[in-house]
Amino acid sequence: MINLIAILQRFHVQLFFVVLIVVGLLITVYQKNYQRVALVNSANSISGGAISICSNISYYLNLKEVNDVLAKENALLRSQSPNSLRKINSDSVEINDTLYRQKYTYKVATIIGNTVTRRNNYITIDIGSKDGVEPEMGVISSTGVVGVVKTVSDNYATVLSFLHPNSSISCRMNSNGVLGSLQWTKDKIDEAFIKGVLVTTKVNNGDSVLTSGLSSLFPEGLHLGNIISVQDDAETQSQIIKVKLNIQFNSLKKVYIVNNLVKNEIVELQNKENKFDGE
Amino acid sequence: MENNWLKNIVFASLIIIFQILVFNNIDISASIIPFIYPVIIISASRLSNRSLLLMAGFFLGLFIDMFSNTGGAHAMATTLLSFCQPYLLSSMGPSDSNSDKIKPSIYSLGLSNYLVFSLILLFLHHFVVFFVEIFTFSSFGLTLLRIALSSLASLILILLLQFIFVRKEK
Repeated sequence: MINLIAILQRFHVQLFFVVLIVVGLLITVYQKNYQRVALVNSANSISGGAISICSNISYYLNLKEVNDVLAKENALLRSQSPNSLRKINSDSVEINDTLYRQKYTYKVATIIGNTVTRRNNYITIDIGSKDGVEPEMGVISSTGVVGVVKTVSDNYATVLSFLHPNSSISCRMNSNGVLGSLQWTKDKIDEAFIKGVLVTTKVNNGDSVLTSGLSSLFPEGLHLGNIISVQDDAETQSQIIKVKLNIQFNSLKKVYIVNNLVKNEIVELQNKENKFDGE
Repeated sequence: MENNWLKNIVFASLIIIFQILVFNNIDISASIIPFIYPVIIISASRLSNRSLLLMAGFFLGLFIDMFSNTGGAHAMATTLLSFCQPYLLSSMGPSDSNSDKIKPSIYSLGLSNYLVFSLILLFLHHFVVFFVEIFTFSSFGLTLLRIALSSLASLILILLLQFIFVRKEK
């Protein structure tokens, strides 16, 4: 016993060092595996508050660009409204409200923290559970998909950016409807690739890539980018398709949180099916 | 002495604020991220209590983690940094009892000694941060390059800080 105490006294610095390293490792592993843990991240009130002060300043300086983007989006929306469409057949334009039900609602959020240069990138936004944000909600901007909400606190939330090795978006090619999964290339902030499309499938260079609407996170038909190169991968008999993204992550400011009103219904249904398969 | 404490705390807070608000948002070309806050631990004097230094390193790192969503990467790196700093410091510079109080800087250690001293520590720190962040040893070479370039960027910034803030002691 006395020996033990003597050893502890002699090596207390080394022991302390080991303990701290282990604690650090635990925090890291914990945060990587459990999405809802808001222990050490920028969604908590101290760091969220500080980041938002800093962001307010840079937001003011960027107002001009933000205005431009919003104006462009307005123009786009205006062009899509029924008023700006020409009537071809008077019957076909009529909208019957009982046929359509609202499926998605959107909430505007301002980005207050955003990294683009790391391997694992996250975005912090200025609304949280008080405004109805929940984990696993999709986040989009006027130019494409931004990511998925990961952690939520009362007033802030962190978003798993598309620029993260774990992010993937279910997508479809516009001209032929081929489905795929879009992932970040990890080196350029405006390039992504689609893997797993067989060599026998014809892919058109320059084709635009849209969201497929198969995942309940994002609405269908959102323009993500255009195909810039197609390469055959002899090993897996598939093609590696590079996509130039529309969205510019380093100048992102306003984003929309997508709330899918029928998501629970879909998830419940899919869970039932999984259970059925398991039996 | 009390005056010194106050000075150290003000210096540390300034560095932390700079790191979080400015350098965390900087992107120099592809994925080079400078970290200047290790300078707080690097410039601890030889008389510092080692357990206290470890503790300070851990919480300093954890604080940076809170702002950059990196789990415990910075906490681990800075703990390692504050563990190694005293060993490295005792093998450098003059070792008479008078020099024990002096904080390592370009003036007290000499420029070349200080460069080697802080580059080794910065490299260790960056090594842990980058590898814990990606959590895999695949693409080892590329990450090593990022680490080396980021360490150099940090070193240059820390040297500039030294020229601005540290006065030559008479």
